[in-house]
Formats: sequence, C-alpha cells, structure tokens
Amino acid sequence: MKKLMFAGLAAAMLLPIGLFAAGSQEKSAPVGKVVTYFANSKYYSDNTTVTRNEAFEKATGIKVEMQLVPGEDEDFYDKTDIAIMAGDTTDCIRLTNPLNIARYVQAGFLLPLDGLLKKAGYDAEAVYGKFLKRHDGKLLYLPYEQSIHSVYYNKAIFKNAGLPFPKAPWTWDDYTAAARKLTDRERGIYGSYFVLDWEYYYYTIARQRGVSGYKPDGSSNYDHPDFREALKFLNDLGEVHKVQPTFKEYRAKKLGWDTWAATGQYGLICIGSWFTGLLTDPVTYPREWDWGIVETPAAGPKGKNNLMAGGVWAVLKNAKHPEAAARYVAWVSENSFRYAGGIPARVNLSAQEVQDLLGGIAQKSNGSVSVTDLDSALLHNGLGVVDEKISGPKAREYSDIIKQEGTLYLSGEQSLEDTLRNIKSRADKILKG
Amino acid sequence: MQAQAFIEGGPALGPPLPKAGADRISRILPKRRRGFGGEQRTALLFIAPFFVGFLLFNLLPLFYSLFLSLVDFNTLGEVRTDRFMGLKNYLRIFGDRLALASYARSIYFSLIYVAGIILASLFLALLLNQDLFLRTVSRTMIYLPYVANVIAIGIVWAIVLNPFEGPVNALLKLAGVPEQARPQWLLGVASSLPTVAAIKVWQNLAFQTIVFLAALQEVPRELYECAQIDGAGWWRRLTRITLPMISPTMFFLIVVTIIGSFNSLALVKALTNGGPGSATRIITLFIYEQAFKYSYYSYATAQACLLFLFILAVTLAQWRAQKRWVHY
Repeated sequence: MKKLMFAGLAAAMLLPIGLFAAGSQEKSAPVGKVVTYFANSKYYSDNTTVTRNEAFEKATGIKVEMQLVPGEDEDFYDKTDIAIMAGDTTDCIRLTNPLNIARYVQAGFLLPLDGLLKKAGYDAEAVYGKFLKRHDGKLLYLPYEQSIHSVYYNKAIFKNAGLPFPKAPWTWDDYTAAARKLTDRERGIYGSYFVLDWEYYYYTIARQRGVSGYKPDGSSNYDHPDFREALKFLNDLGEVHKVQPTFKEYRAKKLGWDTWAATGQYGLICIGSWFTGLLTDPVTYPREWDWGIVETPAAGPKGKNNLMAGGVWAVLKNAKHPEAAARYVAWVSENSFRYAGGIPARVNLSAQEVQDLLGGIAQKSNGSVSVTDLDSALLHNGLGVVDEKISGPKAREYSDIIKQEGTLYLSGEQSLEDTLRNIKSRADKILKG
Repeated sequence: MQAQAFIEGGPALGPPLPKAGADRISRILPKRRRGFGGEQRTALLFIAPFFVGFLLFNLLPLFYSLFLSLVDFNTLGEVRTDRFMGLKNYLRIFGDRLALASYARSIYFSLIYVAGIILASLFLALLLNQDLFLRTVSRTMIYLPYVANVIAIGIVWAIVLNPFEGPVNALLKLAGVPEQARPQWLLGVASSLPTVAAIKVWQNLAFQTIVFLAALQEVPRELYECAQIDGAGWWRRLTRITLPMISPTMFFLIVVTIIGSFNSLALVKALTNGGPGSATRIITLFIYEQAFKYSYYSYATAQACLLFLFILAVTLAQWRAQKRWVHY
C-alpha cells in the first residue's frame, strides 16, 4: 500500500514536468518543411497575414506556423527578447521599428543571411539594392517595405466642409488652416489626427529639417529650437487650434493608431505608406467614405523632407529551420506589399511594375485614389528623405524619455520649457552612461 | 526513565535494541529523539510536491536573483554572468533619482492602499456581521471584483473615470462642480496614483472583509451584552471589545496587505502604464522596465532585492511593534 502511494506521489510530481516538456515539442511537419515566426496578437488572425502565409505555403510547400506572443509594439518585443535569450528556436521575426532593428543587431540575435540566400540561389542585391543595409559586412535582414509618410484625407469631410482637396506643395501652416475649416465639434468631426502615443510625432518638424537628436559630442541635442517648435506645434493642434483631440481626450477615449481608418471622424492624418494596407482592407476596416492622399507638408524652406522608415524580416540566431526560414524571409520581403499594401523596398521593379503596384492599391481603394495621386504623394514628390526616428546610442531610453516628458506637456501638467529641459538633462544622463 | 523507555523500545519506536548498543545510543541521542519511521516518510512524501515546486520556482530563483544583482548582466544579448560587480548595482540605485522616486511612489501608494483597504474592509465586515437585508447578495457583490480579470477592471474603470465623458464626472457636473475642480482621475499627475490605489482597494476588498468577518464572528457575544448592561455605547464597544479581540487578525491583514501593496504591476499596467509622465511609475513597474525594456537585468534585480529587504524590514518592525497593540 505504501509502495503504491509512493508511486502515485512520484507520478504526480513528474506529471507536470512531462506535460511541460511535451508542450514545448515541435508539433507538426518534419525539419525543412516548416518555418515558424513570432506573431503578435493583432497579426495572428489578421486577414492579410493568413492569406499571405497560405500563398507562401502554396508556392513553396513549406508550412508556416506562427508562435503567438501576446501584446503589441514594445510589449511584444519585451517577450521575444527573453525568449530568444532563453534559447527559443523560433525561426523568424518581423522588426517594424528601427530602434528594435538596431537592438537586435547589437544583441547578436540575427543570423547572417548571405550563406543561406546563396544556397537558395537568391540574389538579394538584385532585388533590394540600395535598401539593403549591412552590419560589419553581414546581411542580417531583408527590408519588406519602405514606409513613406504622406497625408491621407477623408474626402467626405472635405466635401461636407465645402473645401477643395489639399494639393502639394504645402506647409504645416496650410495643414493647420485646412484642419480648422474641417473641424465641426458638434458633429464630432476633427480636422486633424495624430497618433499621440508615437513619440516621433513630438519632433517631426525637427527631423524634417534634418536636426539630429545628438550633438557631435554625443550628448542630447534636445535644446535645439526646432525640437521646441515641433512639440509646440503638436500641442497647439489640440489645445490652441482645437482641430484634433487633446492628449487627455486621446487617452480618455482610448484612441489608437488605426482610429482614423476605423471611424471616419477625422479629416487629415500624416502617417506611413503602410497605412494603405488598412485603407484597402474592407474586411477589417469597412468604410463608406473615400480617401485621398497628398505628400507630407514641408516644415519650412529647410524642412522639405519626407519621413521614412522601414520594416524588415530576419532569421533568428537559434532558428530550428534556418534554410526554410531564409526562404520565407526572402519571399515575404519581396511579396508582402501584394497582401498588406504599402511600398516595397525593391529596386528591381520595372516602371510598369511600379505602376501596376500603385494600380493595385488604387483598384483596392475602390476609386478613392488614382495611380497619379499615389505616385505624386509617395514616390515622385518634391521632397528629400530623412529617418523618421531619432536613432543612435540608447535610442530606446531616449525615446521613452521624450515620450514621458512630452506627454506631461501635452497633458498640460508641465510647461514646455521644463519639458525640454527635463528631456535634455535625463537624456544626457543616460547617454553619459 | 525516558532513555530506558527508548532502550526498551516503546510501541512507536520499533523493536527493542540490544542492550550494549542501546547504552551507546542513549548517551549520544537526545532524550526525545523521534525515529524516521514510516509515518514520517509518508508525510514527507505528501509535502514533497509542494516543496519541490517551492524550491524550483521560489527559492532557487530568489538565490539566483541575488547572484544576478552582484554581476554585470546589463545588456541585451548573450546571458553573461561572469563579471562580478559586488554592490555597484545597489549603489547605483542611490544615485538614480528616478529609481528613488519610484520607491517613494510605492510607499505613498502603499500608505493609501493599506489604510483604505483595512478601514473599508473592517467597515464592511462590521456591516455584514449584522442581520442585514440582502446580506448574502451583498457578500457576493463584494467578492465579484476579487475574481475579475485585471485587464477588464482596467477597461471598465477607464470608462467610468473618463474625465470628459465618464459617468462620475458627469454626476459631478450635474452637482454643480466646476470643470476646473473636477478631478482628472487617471489622467491627472496628482490624482492618478491615489485613483489607482482606490481601484486596487475596490478590487481586493473581498479577502480582507471575509477574514475580518470570520474574526468578528469569533468575538463572544456575552462581552457585548455585558458592556451594554454596563452602559457602554457603540464606540466604546468597538474600541474596547471589538478591536482588541480582532487585533491578531488585524495584525495579520496589515502585514499581508503591506506586502501585497508593493505588487501592483498588473493593475498599473492596465490602468495607466506608469503615466501620465511617471506619476504612477511605482517601483515594480520601474523594475520591470529596467529589466525588460532596457535590458538592465542585474540593475533591476538589485532593485528587486532592495525592495525585498525593505519589505522585510517593515514586516520585522511590525512584528516587534505588535506587542503594544495586539492582544492574544
């Protein structure tokens, strides 16, 4: 009896360990015929993601399995950081933020692709050309998009306000004037919308003028007057001109990055070209109004630059199926735009293919925009290009400092001067190490 | 005599030993030695699963954390624990204004939360100890927030306390409170931390209330009857009978509540994520960010160990102070 009890207790102790081990085993196809990647909760069941993965499976015979990581944006990367450090064998990851790309490169999380792509007979230079970035001579990721900012506008709101559609070239003053005329608080219409959670909007004007976040000596450059002007401009849109939700309203109503596309209550938004993916997805973002597109306003004579960023796909250093992963990364980087919209970071598209690409977006827009509209707003505008974000040493902490102090100013809890001084002093402290 | 009983082998100690060996044993072993017999072994086997889990998931991580806090593992990448730093991570805390501010915020949060929940739960327990109409329903309603999901709580309270369109400020507006005087609740720098503390009080009332209720029901009714006969009012009965009689329970609840008050990461993340600015960036959230956002793993672990020592010191101080007010 006692031996039986002992055996039972031992089994009870070992059972959780066994279940845990079983749960972490690969559950499907043999090595080489499956590829896994970390997917956040938003994209796990997203219509375009599923369609894209099915297309890859059909084209290559390699099964795609997503490893769900709860959370979005930084919460997602907080978890993948730990998983990778703990030796997780997931194959690929999509890095959407230049700050995270820099972190993962520095951490050594990414597997060099040169050998794998050569083995697969894939010429990345021919496809991506100038968009490829090497680190110590190694190719660590492939870009799947070039995210070019432009202003999207709600045509219905413009028509109701009796206003002509915005035309380039224009400035942020023109933008504000248009937003004022569009705003109708009684009907709940705001002329402008900025995603106030994203701190790079706090210094857009400064970046457009090519102002760096760092001085030559490595300290913070946040005492530059353009940063002051940029933050004041954003604040004044809500608090002074009252053409967009104030920061407190934004937070109280839990507004988000896709609110403009989801609600149709806002006239203008300045955002990256990946946004065309939302505007051409009638399943996730059904709408009854047409949209237009025009190039980003200039920030004065020295600010005739567009903001640019780009997402990448990479193979992780512990990948269990590196060859299949390299094939997936290459395929999805080349073809992502066909499913999710946006502009690919490719140099091997012919003029006709580019026109077809823009034509595809125009067609999916159900007549909202034409190929000419998209071409002049995104590709052939009169603007130069700058990185949308401050990137450099301790960039993530620097961004968080800008966000924390900036939100105090936007909430009316702190003066502009105190905000800029605090950003400068806190950033200098972390940059000093 | 006890040694003799041992030597002769009482019924619980197994068969009798040979006399020479028994003499040696009786000189060596304590008088009341218990053998490692079948029952003890079975008992050990029953507590082994818990003990193994405690060892693997509590004790070992605790010691590993202590080790991590003494090395230089403060970058994202390969796990490297070979650079010993001694107490440098701890000393860094005392030069970090933001870390110290987070500790201060946590203490402030704890003061509001502990006072609020002890008073509120005692009040509720006193009410529920009466023969009230709908007492069972009231008990269920008090218990519901305790089992609710913290994210759901965050969403609901964000709607209720919306300073622009929420029902609370709408009622204040109806009551004639001017806009400048209406609180910003979760969006105000000064109001956000007390608001989060109040929501946590609401969320956790059930446990304290139930424990207080159990203690109140153990207070002999005769004491109240005698006090009433002697002309004692409700306040004297409360302060001279009820509180002293339930003081051991109150002591227990204050200790566990203080410990629990420093662990509010989930609620703060759900409600404010540390904002506005850093107004609700309590130490547990600060530690989480230092570790998982900025990859300062050793530095974050040092902060966690320091927090542990602080809570331990507070608990020990309370333990010593209980002699003054806890009546057993």
